[in-house]
Order: sequence, then C-alpha cells, then structure tokens
Amino acid sequence: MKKSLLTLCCSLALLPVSWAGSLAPADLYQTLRNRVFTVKDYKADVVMNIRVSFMKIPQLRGKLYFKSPDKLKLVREGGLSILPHRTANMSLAGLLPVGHVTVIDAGNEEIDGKSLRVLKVVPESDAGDIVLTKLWVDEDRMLILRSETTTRDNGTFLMNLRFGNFIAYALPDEIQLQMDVKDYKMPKGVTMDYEGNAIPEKVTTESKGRRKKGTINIHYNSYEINTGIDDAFFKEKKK
Amino acid sequence: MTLLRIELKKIFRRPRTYIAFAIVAALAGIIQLALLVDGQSFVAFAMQGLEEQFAFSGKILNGYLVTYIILQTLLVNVPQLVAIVAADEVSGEAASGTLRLLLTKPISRTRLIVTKYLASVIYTLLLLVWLAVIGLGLSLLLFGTGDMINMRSEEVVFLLQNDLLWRYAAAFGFAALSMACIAALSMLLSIFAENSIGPIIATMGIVLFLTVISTLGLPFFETLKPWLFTTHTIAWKGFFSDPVPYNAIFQSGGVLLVYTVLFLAATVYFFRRKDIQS
Amino acid sequence: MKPVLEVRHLTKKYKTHTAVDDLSFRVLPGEVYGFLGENGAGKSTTLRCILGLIKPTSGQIFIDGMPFPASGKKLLRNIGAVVERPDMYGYFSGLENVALFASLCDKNIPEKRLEEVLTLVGLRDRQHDRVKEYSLGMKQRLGIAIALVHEPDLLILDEPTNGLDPQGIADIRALILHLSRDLGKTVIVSSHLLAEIEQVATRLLILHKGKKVLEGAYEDLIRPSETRVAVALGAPLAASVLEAGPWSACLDKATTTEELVFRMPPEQIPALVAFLSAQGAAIQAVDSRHSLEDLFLTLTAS
Repeated sequence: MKKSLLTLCCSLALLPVSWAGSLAPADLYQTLRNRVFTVKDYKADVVMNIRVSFMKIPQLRGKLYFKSPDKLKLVREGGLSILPHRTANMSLAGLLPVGHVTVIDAGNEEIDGKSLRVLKVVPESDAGDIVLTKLWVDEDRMLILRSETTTRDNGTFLMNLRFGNFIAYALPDEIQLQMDVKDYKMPKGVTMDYEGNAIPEKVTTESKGRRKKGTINIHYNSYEINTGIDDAFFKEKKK
Repeated sequence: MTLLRIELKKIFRRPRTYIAFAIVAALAGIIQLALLVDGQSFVAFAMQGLEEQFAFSGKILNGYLVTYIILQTLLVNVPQLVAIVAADEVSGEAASGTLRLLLTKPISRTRLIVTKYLASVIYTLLLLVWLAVIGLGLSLLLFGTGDMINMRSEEVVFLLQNDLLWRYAAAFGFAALSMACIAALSMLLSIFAENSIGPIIATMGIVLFLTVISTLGLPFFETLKPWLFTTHTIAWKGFFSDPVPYNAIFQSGGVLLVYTVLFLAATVYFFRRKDIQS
Repeated sequence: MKPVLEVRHLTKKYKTHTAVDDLSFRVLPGEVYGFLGENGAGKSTTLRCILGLIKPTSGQIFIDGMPFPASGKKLLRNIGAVVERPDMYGYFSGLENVALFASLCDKNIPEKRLEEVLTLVGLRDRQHDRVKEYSLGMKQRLGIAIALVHEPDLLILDEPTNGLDPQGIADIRALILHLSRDLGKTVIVSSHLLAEIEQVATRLLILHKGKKVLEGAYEDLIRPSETRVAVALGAPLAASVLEAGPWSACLDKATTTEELVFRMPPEQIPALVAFLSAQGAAIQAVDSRHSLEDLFLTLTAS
C-alpha cells in the first residue's frame, strides 16, 4: 500500500512536465478521468454544511466514506446523518458520464482570475441519466475546478472544487455542490406548527412542488485513501 | 405559608389528584409502547416526503424525537388535567360545604384565593415535572439519545443531540407558563360554580373551542388568532426551530402572562364579592 | 356593658326578595342569644353577614366595637362558628380537620388543645377515623370542636341541632350551657324550634320574614300570667255560664263553641277545671302553652 502511494506520488509529481502544451480535448478528458479514478475509495474527516431552503441543518461533523464511482456514506458518532438520496452525483467520479463519450472543446473561460479550459462531455449512449457534463479544467495543475452536469431526471448539478492540502491525490479540500431539490410540505393539521406572530407566507400553487436550489458544502480535513472499503458497508442498515 | 401547606395537603390527599398523574403516565406509556413496536413505519410515513430526496441514516426514532411526539400529543390534553384540580379549588369546597367554614376563619379572601392559585400552579408544575420524567427521562432510557429531526409543515429542522436538552428545559418552562394560564382560567370559572364538574367541563370546552379556532387555518379566524391564548400555548415548539424565534416566543409568553394576570385579577375580584350561599 | 356584637339596620336584598329587613340587635358578653324563626326567616343570612360570608346590602356590623368587615377579617379571630350543615374535609381524619382549621385561626394553639376539644365533644376515640365515615351527629360535634378549638369568646351556632336525634339535641344543649355557665362564652344560637333554645337562651330574638318581631330576656318574654289555656269541650257550654262566672275576665276572643281559650297564670288551671266541671262542662282535654310559644306558633302558622 505504502509503496503504491509512493509511486503514485512520484508519478503525479512528474505529470505537469509531461503535460506541457495543450492536449486534445479527448486526451485531456481521459487524463483527468484517470486521475479521478485513481482514488478507489477514501475515508475522510469532514465538516458538512447543507443548505436547503426547507431544511435547517446545523454544521455536521463526521466521517465521510466514499467508494468509486458512486457510493458515499456519512457516519456521525452516535448521531444522525443526512445525505442527498442520489449520492451518485456527489463526487466527480459520479458526475462523469459512463461509457464512451464525445468530448467537445468549448474554449476558455476565466474564473476567479484564472483562465480555465472548458470541456463538454456528451455520452454516446443515452442509457445513463447524465445528458451532458461541462468541465472547467485547470490545465497547469491538471485539475477539474468546476463541473456542471445535466441529468435526464434529476436536474442540474454544479460542483465547485477547491484544492490545497491534498492536491497530490487530486482530492479537494472543499467542494461545493449545488443541486435541484423539490419543495417539501406537510399538512399543517399533522404538524400543528407554532407560527408565532409571523404572517404565514402565502403559498401560491405555482410554488408548490417547484424545484429549488440546494447546496452542500463539504470541507475535508483529512483523507485516508484506498484502504479498500467493503461494498456492504454502504448498504443502509435498516434499524 | 401555613395556608399554602394546607391547600397543598388538600390537593395531594385526594385520589383525583393522582388520576392526572396516572393519565400522563398511561398516555406517555402508550405512545412509547406504540413507537417501540411500530416506530419504524411511523417514521417511514412521516419521512416519506423527505426520503425521496435525502437519505437518513442513524437512529431517527430516538428518545428526543419520542419526547417531542409525546409532548405534541399530550400537552394539548394537559389543560384538562390541570382543570381537574384548579377548577375544583373553589367550586369543590363550595360543593362540599367546607368553603363557608374556611371563610369564617380570619383569612382575607384575596389571600385565600391567591394561595389556592399558587397551590394549583405547584400541582401543575409537578404534573409537568412528572411529564418530563416519564416523557423525556423514560423515552431517553428506552430509545436512547440522538439528533432530532423536527418536521414542520414547511421545513425540517435538524437538531444536534447536544443542542436539545436546553430546548426541552425551555419548552417545559414555557409549558408551565401556558398551564399556569389555564389554571387561572379554571380558578375563575371555579368561582361561579357550586360543583366542580361544571368548571372542569367549561375549562375543557373553552380550551377545546379556542384550540380548534387557533389551529384551523380558516381566513375568517386569522384576525382573531393572535388574541387567543390557545394560539400561544404551543409556543414551546418555537424552541425546536432554528433559529429560535425568541421575539415571537416572548410575545406569546407576554400574551399568556397578560391573560393569566387578567384571569387572576377577575378571580380575586369576583371571589371577594361572592356571597357564600352554599 | 360593651356589646360583643352589634348589628345596625342590617338589610340584605336579593333580586326577588328581601332576606333581612332593617334588623338591629346587640349581643352582650356572657349571653346565650337565641335566634328564632322559621326556615327562611333570615336567620342564616344574618349570621352569614356577621361572619363575612355574605355582603349586606346595607347596614353595619360591629364586632367588639369595630366595624366589620371594614376593619379586616382579623376580627373573626375571636369567633367560632358552625354554619348550618357540618361539612368538613371527608378525606381527612377528625383530628386533622380540627388541626387544619386551628392553624387558620391566627393563634398559637398547642397540640394538646386539639385533643382536649375533641374530648369535650366526645370524639376522642374516633379522632383518627376519616370524617367520611362519621355520622351526622359526630360531624355536628366535630363542627363544634372546630368552632371551639381556638378558644373564641363568641360562638355562633347556626342550627346546631339540625338533623340530630333527641339524645344528640340534649347533648348539644348541655354543651351550650357548659360553655356559657362554666366557660363564660357568649353564644349566639339559632333554631327554628323554640323548644330547642328556650332552655338555654338568656335572650331571644324572633325573626319573621327578615324582620325583628320580638326581642328580650327570656323571663320577660314568656309572661306566665298570660299563658294560653285551651279547654276542649265534648259539647257546647252555655255562654251564660262563663259570662257570669269569675273567669270571664280571662277569656280570650279565640274561644269557640268547641274550645274555650283563656289567658291566665298556669297555677290557676286546677281551679278553672274544677269550676268548669261543676258547671257540667264535658272537658275532653286541657292544653296550656306559654305566651312566647303561642306567639311563635302563631307566626309560623301564618
């Protein structure tokens, strides 16, 4: 394990040299994809902020378990954990289309004073949920700093990544995921809310069931990579 | 002090006083049992709107949530239990004839009635402490601790377990104020009756009637709502919102306090003028 | 002597009727003051006004010379009362009831006084039983124990013998005499039966429809020379016999052909009977009642 990590580090350190000059979109995508998929699983100490209009959730601290490409689980000591149902779309690996893809160069775009290469990735088959993924790539560091994934059934996912301490593994220090969430409502008769003196908001029919934006912010404090987490671990234990 | 001791003795020597404690224990117990047996399907039902989009793991049905469910169901009914004793304070003694003997003693009526009210409030507080012991204590014992998900009609509040005890303390404190208000109403009604059933039923009736108006979302009643004390008795729930709507809670508390003082002042006024014919 | 209690122009009006109408009287220390009247005459209302249970419509009440209730309820410290039915806390024992009311009397009452007073009313053996299990007579006596426990100077007993058997009535009567003669208490006792209080009362007040009809010392009120003597006859007697005879002066206008009514001292009854027999009257019965009783019966009959 240690050895493989070491080699990985070495090879990563060498990478920028070999990437001198612009790559073809498909090659660039393939390189990025390979980098993303070198991490098979991880266990990370995280601080999570979930912001959804109809949910008041405090900052959650816990261990986030990930197994490529789409398994994710938050464990909090003695407490409840909450994650969007579709954890598939919460990691870069899950936001990339499956199977053969067509990669289109969409030029450059400046974000935060940095010029980034924009790629559009379209899956060749239309079997998957993902219709289109747009990637903003830092070519110097060979990192994806933003992705925007449009799905067939689950709205749009926008992910911003910030790299720092764990750049060697191409793992972010912090991600911010923006997603579409459906509105939530329970009948008042059931909840018997206390409204205080607040004037109840007039709920118009259009706003019901409307899609709203939700954001999830995950700050990673440490990672343990490729320790080989069993699939069964991610299975929801029914209490 | 002697008078208060006597009034408390009168309350706690009667079997009917303990009916309320038994009812609280029985109702809380039934809820706990039901949740113990079939809690998962209850949680699944309540969470279905959320589970569509979010996955929860861990013990959702923990002691804190169970307590909340118990309070939500029970606190609406505690006024009736308060009335059993408070509404009997004067009318019961009028019915048994002891009131006239009591009033031939050199004690001012104001002092007597205020002491009787204090005794009812102490009874009410003990009832709430009992509810806390059974509701919160036993629930935590049976279901364990954990973070609480409070489902409101338009939002879901996720509360961390180390952030909950003070909320319950505050909620019980507020409930005490609400019930003190109910006790004052019961006492007031108690003045006018010569038997205790009348004021008990009347208290229940008024509370039930106003609660229906308070909870019914009909626009016709909306202007009335802020002025009904029943609208404010559920303000304890505010402590389970995030952020806690302190302004609203203080206002609700203020309304309840004003009602309590009004009821009590009216009680003193009418009791001082009452001819004891029984 | 300064009156223990003085009532001036007491009036209590209700929506439909006047219960007490301009009633004035004074009770002096050491008296046993009998309050007499049929049910509804206003006795209870008056006593309840004195005890602060009912607010008078007008008039004043003075206890120990102080206006009541204006001077505060502390004036009731020296009063012990039994008001109508003896209702106590049924789920407390007799002793607990006495202790409870004793502690409300604003006086330091030693523990042994409780037992003493229970002994006085003959409840010592049953003091630990719950009052629920007491008979009416026992409750009545417990009521008196409660009225006495704080050693008041004035006792107000409203119908204390109501519902008691003859022995119970005799016991209460003896107790009142004991309180008055031996302990020097002032007692106000009400009843709707003259017989019950005429033996104990030193002074009497007869109340009728809220108004005072008569008040005075018992000896003054009964006027023996005016005792009513009724002689029932089997057959009418010739009027001439009486008109001419020595008894005509005593003849009352209530006389009928079947019954002769006289007003006369009772010791002359044998002489009267002898005279009437000599005249051939068929005497069936002779009934005498003193003037007070007569007056009271006339009032209650109306």
